[in-house]
Formats: sequence, C-alpha cells, structure tokens
Amino acid sequence: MLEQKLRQTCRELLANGTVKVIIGYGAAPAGQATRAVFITTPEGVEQLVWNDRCEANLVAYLKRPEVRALGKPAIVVKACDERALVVLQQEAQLERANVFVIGMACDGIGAPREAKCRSCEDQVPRFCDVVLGEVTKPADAASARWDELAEFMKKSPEERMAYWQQELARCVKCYACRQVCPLCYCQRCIVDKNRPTVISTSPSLKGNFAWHVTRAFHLAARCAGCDACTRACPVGINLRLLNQSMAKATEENFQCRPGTDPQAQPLIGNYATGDKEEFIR
Amino acid sequence: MSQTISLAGIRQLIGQWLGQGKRVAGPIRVNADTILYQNLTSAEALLLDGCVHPGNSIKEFVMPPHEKLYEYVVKGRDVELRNQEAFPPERLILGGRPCDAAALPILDHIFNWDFVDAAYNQRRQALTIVSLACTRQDDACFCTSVGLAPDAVQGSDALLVPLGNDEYEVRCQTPKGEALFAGKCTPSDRQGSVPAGPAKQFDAKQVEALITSQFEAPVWREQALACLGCGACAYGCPTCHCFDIVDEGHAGGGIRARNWDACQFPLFTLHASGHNPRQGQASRQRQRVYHKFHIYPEKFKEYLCTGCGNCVRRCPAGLGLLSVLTAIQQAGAAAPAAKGEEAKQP
Amino acid sequence: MSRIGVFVCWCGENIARTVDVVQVAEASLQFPGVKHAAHYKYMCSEPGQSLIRDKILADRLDGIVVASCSPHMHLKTFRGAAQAAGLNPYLVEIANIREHCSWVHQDKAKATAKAIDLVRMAVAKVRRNNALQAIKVPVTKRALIIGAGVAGIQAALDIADAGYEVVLVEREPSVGGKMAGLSETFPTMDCSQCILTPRMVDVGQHPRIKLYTCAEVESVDGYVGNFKATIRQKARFVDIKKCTGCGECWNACPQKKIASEFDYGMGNRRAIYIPFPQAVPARPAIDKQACLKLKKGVCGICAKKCAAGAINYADQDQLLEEPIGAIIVATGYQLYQISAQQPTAELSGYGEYGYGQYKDVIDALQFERLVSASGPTGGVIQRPSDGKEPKHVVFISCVGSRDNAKGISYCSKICCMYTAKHTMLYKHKVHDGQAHVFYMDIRSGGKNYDEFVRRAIEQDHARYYRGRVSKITEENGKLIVRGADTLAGTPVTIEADLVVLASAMRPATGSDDLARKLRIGYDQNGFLSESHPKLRPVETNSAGILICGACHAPKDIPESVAQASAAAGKVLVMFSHKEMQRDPEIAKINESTCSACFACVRTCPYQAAEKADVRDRAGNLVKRTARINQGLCMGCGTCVAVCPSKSADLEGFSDQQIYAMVESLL
Repeated sequence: MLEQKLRQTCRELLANGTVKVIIGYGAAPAGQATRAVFITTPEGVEQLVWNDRCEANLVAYLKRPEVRALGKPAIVVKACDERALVVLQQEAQLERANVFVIGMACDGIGAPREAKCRSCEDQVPRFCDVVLGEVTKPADAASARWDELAEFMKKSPEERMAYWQQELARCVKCYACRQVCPLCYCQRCIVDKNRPTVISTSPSLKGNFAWHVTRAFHLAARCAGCDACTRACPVGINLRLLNQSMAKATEENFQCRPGTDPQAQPLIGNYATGDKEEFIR
Repeated sequence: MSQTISLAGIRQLIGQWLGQGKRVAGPIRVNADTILYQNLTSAEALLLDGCVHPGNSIKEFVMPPHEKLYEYVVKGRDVELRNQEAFPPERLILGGRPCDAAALPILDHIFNWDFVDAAYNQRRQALTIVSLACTRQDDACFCTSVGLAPDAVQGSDALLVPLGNDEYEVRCQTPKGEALFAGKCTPSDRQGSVPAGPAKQFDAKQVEALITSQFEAPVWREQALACLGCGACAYGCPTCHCFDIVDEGHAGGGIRARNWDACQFPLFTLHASGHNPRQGQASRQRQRVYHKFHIYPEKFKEYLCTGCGNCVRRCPAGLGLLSVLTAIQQAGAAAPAAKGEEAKQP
Repeated sequence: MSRIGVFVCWCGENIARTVDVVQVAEASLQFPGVKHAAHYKYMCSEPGQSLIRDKILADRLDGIVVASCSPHMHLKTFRGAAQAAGLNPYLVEIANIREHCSWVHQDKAKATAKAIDLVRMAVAKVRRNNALQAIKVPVTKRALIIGAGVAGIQAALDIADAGYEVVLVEREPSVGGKMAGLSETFPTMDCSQCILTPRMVDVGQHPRIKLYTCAEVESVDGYVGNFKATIRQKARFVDIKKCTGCGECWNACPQKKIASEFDYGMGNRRAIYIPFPQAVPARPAIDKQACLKLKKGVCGICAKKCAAGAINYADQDQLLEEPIGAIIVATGYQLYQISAQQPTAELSGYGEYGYGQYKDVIDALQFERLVSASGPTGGVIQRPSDGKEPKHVVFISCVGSRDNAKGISYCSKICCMYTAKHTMLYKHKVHDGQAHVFYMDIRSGGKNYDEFVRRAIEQDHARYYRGRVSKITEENGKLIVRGADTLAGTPVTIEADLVVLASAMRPATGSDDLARKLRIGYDQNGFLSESHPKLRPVETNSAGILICGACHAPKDIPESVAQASAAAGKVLVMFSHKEMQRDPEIAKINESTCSACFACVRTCPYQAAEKADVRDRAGNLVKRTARINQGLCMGCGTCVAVCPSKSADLEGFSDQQIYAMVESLL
C-alpha cells in the first residue's frame, strides 16, 4: 500500500539521520482536508497519510522560520506543489541539496476531482529524490486548462469589472491567500509597507483591488498553479482566475511555464536577444 | 402554548422590512462552496438553514471590517475635522446561529469598559437578532464545551426552533423580539426541540486553570507548527474584536479608519524599534488562547469564545481552537505544573 | 517642520515673460514647510547665488528649491552655493519652470499656475531629501584601450605620455586599423601610412604601453576605477620575442594564394604572413585554417627556415588578467557588404551592381589598396579582371547609406570626401583617364573640405552626375553603368572599365557582442551609444567606459583623433585624483526587509546589485541579502521597480518623495 511505502521511506530517512523532520500530510476526519504534520521521530511516521484529501501545498511550510529551525526536512509533494519548489530554488530561497523531496504520483484531489486536477498535465513530480506510486486515473484533456478563463473572458469589460467588484467586496484582508502561498515569502510584504503606503491595508474596495491585483502581478511567471490560495479564501473569492490570466499571458508571450525547468532562469530579469520589442515606440 | 411561523411568513416579514428601507441580513449562498451572512437584497435570497454555520459571523454588523471614524481636510495651513454623523440603519438579522448571537453580550463588556465605544453601541442598539436553533452539527462545533447549547438564547431577541415542514416555533426573548413578531405568529401547542448538541470536547474550567501552568509547555510550539499565521480564524470568530487604526489620505485630506486586525499577524506586536515580543507563531497562538480562556474571563467572567467552530472550518492549515484546546487538556493531564522547566517559547 | 527657502528666477525674460514669478514666490509661502520665498532676475549670477547663501545663513534654512531653468544647466551651481553656506548640497532641488513651463506654454495664467504646482512638488520632495555624502571610490590608474586603429593609438599615446600605464588590445596581428591600408588621406593628401606609422612605432615601443595583438577582450568584471579585464591572447604560433622579423618563413611558405585581408582580397598572402611590411609588431602570424602543418601535420618549412627558433606549432590561446581603472572602446568600422548576402535580417544588398559577380566592381577600401604604393599592384591602378589600365572609372556614392530600403538610414559622412579624393588619385596616375561620379549630395563640411572637392572637379576634371545608378551589366569586357543626371534631366550610360562603390560605414564585426560584455548601449545600427550626443559625446552610460572613433558613428580621421584625445582627457581627469567621487543619488537596499530573491541582481543593467551575506559579530550567517555596489550603480531605478517587497529605493528619488510630490498636487 502506498501509505505504508511512504511511512517506511520516512521511517528510514529519520532513522538514518538523512533528515531531521518529515513534512507530510496527517490524518483528518472523513471528508475534511488533511493537515500538515511534522514528524521528528521514526515512530511518529504512523501519522502520515496519503489520500485524495491531501490538497495542501506543503511547500509553503519551507518559508516558516519555526519549521526551518527543525533542521533538514523531507517534504511530501505532488507535481503541482513541486513547481513551487522549483521556483523557490530558482529564486535562491532554498538549496536543493538541503531538502529531501518525496514525490507522490497523484490521481487528483477531491471527489469529484478539483478543477485544476481535471486538466492536470503532470501527475508525477519530476525532480524528486524519490517518487512513490503510479498514476491510475489519468487527467482529462490538457486543453481544459484555460476553459474557465476563456469562458470568463467572453464577458464584456464592464461585466468583468462588476464581477470582481462583487467578489473583492467580500475580502476582509485575512491574508490567508498570502500565507498559504509558497511563493509569497517576502519578509516584509508590500502591503505591510508604509512610508509610503503602497497598498491600502483596509478591507475597502480600493484596498482589496490593490492587494489582489498586485499579488497576481507579483506572482506572474512564478505561480505554481496549486490553487492553495483559492482553497484557503474563507469568503470564497475565485483567486484562481486572477492567477490564471497572468499564467496564460506568460505562457503565450514568453513560452514560460514556471517551475517546470530547474535550470531555467526566472523570467523577471531575464532576456533573450530575440524578445519582442513592439511595445517600444 | 407556543407561537409559530412558517418560512413563507418569515420571507413576508423580510419583504416588509426591506420595503420599509430597513436592512435585513442573513445567510445567503455566495457561490457553490460558500455561504455567508450578508445583507439581503430580496426575501428569496435568505438561506435559513443551508449549512451548519455560515463562513463568517455577525460581528461585522456591530464592528465593520473597515469603519470610517472621521474625515480630515487640509486647507492651507489649517486642518478641518469632520465627524462621522451617519447613524447606522436599523438592521434585522435573521437566521443567526445561537453561537453568533451569544457573542454580542460577551463583546459588550470590552466595548464599554474603559472606553465607551459609541460607534459599536449605536450599531448594537440598531440590531434585532432572530436566531435559528441548530438541528445539525459538525466536527467543528463545540458550543457545549463553553457552556452554550444549540438552543441557547443569550444575545438573541428571538429564537426560531424548527418544527419541521418549514415551520418554526418562535421564542421571543426581549421586548424588541416581541414587537417584531407581534401579530405575525400563529398560536400552536407544538413545541420545538433540538438534538443534544456536540459532546463536550474539553472542560473549559480545567483548561482555564491549566493554561497558566502550561505557559512554557512544548504543546504551544507543537500546535503552532502547522499554523501559517493568517487571520482567517480571528476574522471568522464571532468574539475576536481586535482592530487597527489607520490614517488613509494624502496631502489634501483623508480619513481615520478602524480596520480589523488579528493577533496572529507578526506585525500585530511589532515595535517601532524592530523588537517583537511575540516573535514566533507559538507565542501568538498561545496569546489567542490566553486572551479567550484566561484574560477575558478574569476581567469579565465570560469566555471570549462561543464554540461556533468557524476557526476550525476556515483554517487553511486544518487547525483551529478545538484541536489546540484538546491538546492542552491532554498535555496538562500528562504533565501538570511544568513551570519554568521548558525552554522559553520563541 | 522644515525650513525651506524657495528662490524663483526671472531668467531675464525667459521665464518672466510667460510666468508671473512674483506670484509664484508669493504662493510658495503658503506651502507647508516653506520659511522664505524670494525672486530675482538671474539666480545663477553671483548676486543671485549670494542671495541664496545669505538666506540659508540668516534663516537657518534646511533645504532650498530653486525655480529656474533645467537642472542640467545649474544644479551644480546651486549645490555649490548651498555648500558654501554650510548646507549639504543634496538638500537642493530645482523646479524647472523654464524648459518645462515658460518655454513650452503661452497662456500666462495657466503657465503661472503650472509653475506654482512645479514648485509645490519640488518643496514636497526637498522636505524629504537626505543629506547625502559623495561616494568615494579608489582608482586603478591603468587604462584599457580596445582597438588599435588611429583612434586607439591616439588615446593610448595621450594617456601613456601623461605617465599612466595603458593596456592596448588589438584583434589583428598588427596595429594600424583601416588607416594603415589607405593610400592618401583628405584633405591634405598625406600618405596615410607615412603619417600613421610613426605613431604605430611609438605605441609599439612606448615603455608604458602594454600591447596585445592577435588578442580580444574575453570579459570585464568590476566597476569604474576597479575593473578586471580578461584578455584572450590568441595563438599566433610565432613567439614574437624570439622572432627577428627576417621574413625567411613567409618567403618559404608554399601556401601562396590566400586572399589577403589587409588587401581586402585584391592581393594574396601566405599561410604564415605579416599583414603589411610596416606592421607593428613586425612579426608574422600563422593562419591556422590555411597552414598545412596545423591542419594536416605536413610541411613545417617555416620552422626549419627559422634561425631564431620562433615558430611554435603547439601555441595555445591564453587568458590573461589585467587590473584596469578605465576602458576606452575604439573598435572602428567595417564596410557594408554590398552583395545580396547580409549578416543580419535588417540589412539587404544591391544585387543590381554586380558586386561579387563582376571582378571589376570593387568597393572603396579595395580601391585604396590598388592606389596604395605598398598595395598588391605597387600603386598601379589596373583592372582586377585583366590587369589593363582603366580609362573610364565610375564612382558611385551612397551605396547602402541613406537608404531605408537597405536598412541603413544614416549618412556615412566620409564617402563624398574620399570619392573626390579617389577621382584625384586616379587622375594623378592615369592622366588620360576620366572619372565619373554619381552622387546624391556632396557633403564636405570640414575645414578645407569643400575646396578639396572643387579641386577634384575643376582641376582634375572629375565629372559629377547628380543621380543614382540603376544597374550595372557587363558587355564585351566593359561594365555598362546605367544612371541618371537629374540636373540635366537625362539618363546617363557609361561604359566603364572599373566601378568603385562608396559603401556604407558600419560598426566593426563583433562590436555588439563586445558592448554586451561591457554592458554599454548600442543603437539600432550597432553603433555604440554615447551618454549625451551634445555634451557627453565620448562617455557612455556605464561609468568608466568611454568610446571614440568610428565605433561611435561614421567619422573621418581628424574627428577620430580628436575624439580619442577627448576620451583620453576624460580618463586623465579620472586618474588625476587619488579617489573618484561619485554622485550619491543611487539605489540602496533595506537589508532587514530584503528577501534575497535577487530579482534586482538579475535585472540591473550595470550589474551593480550583488548577493551579500549579513553576519553577526561571531561570523554566523544571519541572512542573505542583495546589496548595491556604490561604484557601479547609475541610479536608474530598475531595481526599485522590480523589487516585490519594496526593499530597494533610490536616494534622492525615493518612493516617499515621489508619492509626496504626486500627493501635493491632489
């Protein structure tokens, strides 16, 4: 059983001192998402589970100082989570040798499967130290990736603006979206900066627009598409759409899919002599 | 002898209130996965019992997430202050859960303690709350552990108890409630009843006593590891009330506003010097539990928690007060009075 | 609260005609933080400056705004005035109410309102200025000069004669560049090599010039005053220290028919060769593509003939490091390739002129080699096809230049002059010959230049037709040139024996790669970019790197020499100080909030953002951060734009200042 294999792998990693802590998924009541567990003893690996509710992106925990203080981690990742890991590597946030990556082949999260899982292109992580399991339920056609966005973009600009005004009015600036995101690792987030204040901290319409649009821009060419932010939002704002619009533009204009090539340079700050320059007049 | 009303009757009441220009709020479905308390635009939008508990609480009707306190206008070298004069409109909340309603009398203490908060009081007085007794519960509910029940009446002006077939028994609690339902109900001899409520998960009195002795215990660090430090729990909590005062404007003028704040953010206790007395998430988690189960009861003889379970449901990391409190109870039972031996919490 | 002084200048009538300066001064007194406001006719004059100095002292001003002309004019003046009164010079701001206001508007009421707004913004800004100190950077007093044509040679001699060391790097086996291959130079008709070779010898013998030939710059690290250049000394296969230049090797080499680069294919050289007799260093090099020993392991005659044992077939490229304080780029030009095959997609050729197809259609540099006394024909002008003396020579101007369709929109500047020169040189050698010139315009603006062209027409009877040539064909050994004389309004057909095409000047091959290595800019034509076309023509936007000569733009020898001395002068100014002073209005990183994502390091055009470690007193790593190299940063603000956490900011143009300026208008 895959769960047993996972526990065994982790037990060995801890027992022979390869890592000091396993960051994995722990049991939760039926129908609820699993939560992160931090196993530091070989016996503790019995807490680890692997099922279709392992939806969290555990890579977010690599930015937490309390977790880093535990020592070299092994981390359980799905392919979507791993993209975040690759981007962190490209942005000098972690040394690959300092993380042991346990990749899990994934059949998709939730029943019925989540939107992003239905169009998943990479069900098996590719840059791990060890990969467990095999895909038994392939995803649907990969072209479905942009369907929701394409449907939304059929609306007129006025309709789209009205939609976002309605959605973002619910935001209370809890920053769950930021905290669960592995790529939001700035030690002083731009929204917390004053002198001058760049983004209003207020949960007003102006402050909410500024926050979410800026966050989408800061994630352009970096977002792993794990949808942790959308799941985390307590008031159900469809943040996935914002990040997808950036992701589509990045792919179409720069052929860049973040987190798919550890050797690649990050898109921001990189140039090729063949880059389009029509916008320079 | 009881008073009853049908769902249709309730919707009619809403229609009347909306027609009178009054505000009505209640649970509505925002999208496929989300039900929130929001202002109703029509009587049909009300989803009286679509979920165990809506995703937010009714505290935002007494303390909005963003509230303008006053305005200032710069004229040459002078500044003119303009108070907020608008009186909050009367508002009816229909379908509040007992755990949400019970939060308001608890909050009344702090907003009338060393400073009488006129803005809060005005909004509070403008509210009429009709709660719906709970016939369902989930794993996150723990109202019984803090002395409440599915049919608790604290803070409600009236309580609706389901009779089945979209009929409800109306139990008015205050003159406001009675005035609201006068002439709208049908007398009946049916009595509503509700299931027992969740089993007690922890003993609040024991936890209150334990946490003082467990200040340095490793349980805080263990429980806080999975916490990502957002404000989802605090903002969804009916009793959390911390706020930040901000000035937003430019050289010509602006506003001073009150925004929600949460003790889970690292900036919450960051000093201008750069020192942060609550440097790590463990000390911030600990503070939250302390505030709710030690400091507030010490001051006001009430727990700052109604066991609604929103913190558990909203937490993106799958935490919430329930697991922390049960862990403390277990840790306390295992190693009582472990004072000063453990390393100080980060 | 601040104590700002506002000083509004009339600038005579330049400002006061369109802006009510008295009103501006009065309005300024209402701005928060302004203690004093005054106006004066000429603020930059001595009385104007003393007005500022006196007020700073009398009112204890802690910042001043001068509402006047562009800061490009007098920012330095007013900073000096402030400093003389004991106020930090960086607490001075200029509100440009001339170039940005009075000179571009006519409505006095609106212009005055705008001027008041401009001053309002400047006051909001200066209140938040920091009292900065100039940054001091040590200087390595050695210059690197890339390219040893006439410009590189001039710059090298100027700097070396001033007492500083020069590293001179030349790609070819000899110094001299294009000028060494010319026959005579306009307008004096001096023999080109005669005036150049003494300089070449000076360079080769100068005690303070370290000359690398057959060498290129591999990379440059560091920053102004503190560069580290890595030179690739390519394998020459001849040890120039042992070699005596006797010539036994190249006389014996069996590979005789290799097209000579120096002669632009008009003549041949050997596989082991010296490019021309007057080469400096006068030592041969082996062309490893043509040498039988290097390619096939046979022959080896040159080594046998060499009495000094200087041949070394095992020679390898070497990488050598040189510490450098300043760099001058003098990489010169190449001629545009006339035929259809072009090096980039933006350029296209002239198939219709038959260049490369007909042997007797040549370009200007090839003609120079024919005319040159030391050229492949000994200075005899003869047709490349059959060696006969040409009686009719057609010279076509503007081949490639000024032609958008070919991708070159600029004028190559020298062709009108050298075409006239070519007609004179031809006539002086072929007395019964006739020169025909097809031209669009005649550009001869230099000293004695127009007189020179008149001589070609009036004394040497060159015929000039104002028109272009549509096609050249060959018939019975003659070239049929079909063109037009637009002044006469007739078509013109000439049966020519030889056609010389004045093709466009382009920057030398590889200059764009070199520019990227050095991080200096170049324009859409590949010419290196100067810092300011009028006021800073030899500097680039990268501190410590200068340009001169044809690599900057088409130009002739006098201009190249002048620019070279100008660049050398700038370098000598840098070297004359113990330390360099740099403007402190550069970027800085808030290291406590920086998350070390290094987006700034990747984006900085000047490589001024570096990765750094923050350590505690015990040496333990606290965190990583980005840090700005104060010697390199040019204050462009790209890092500020790109930083996600807004940890990067610009001194003198901080986010807070810019917000304050905008908000002051709301």
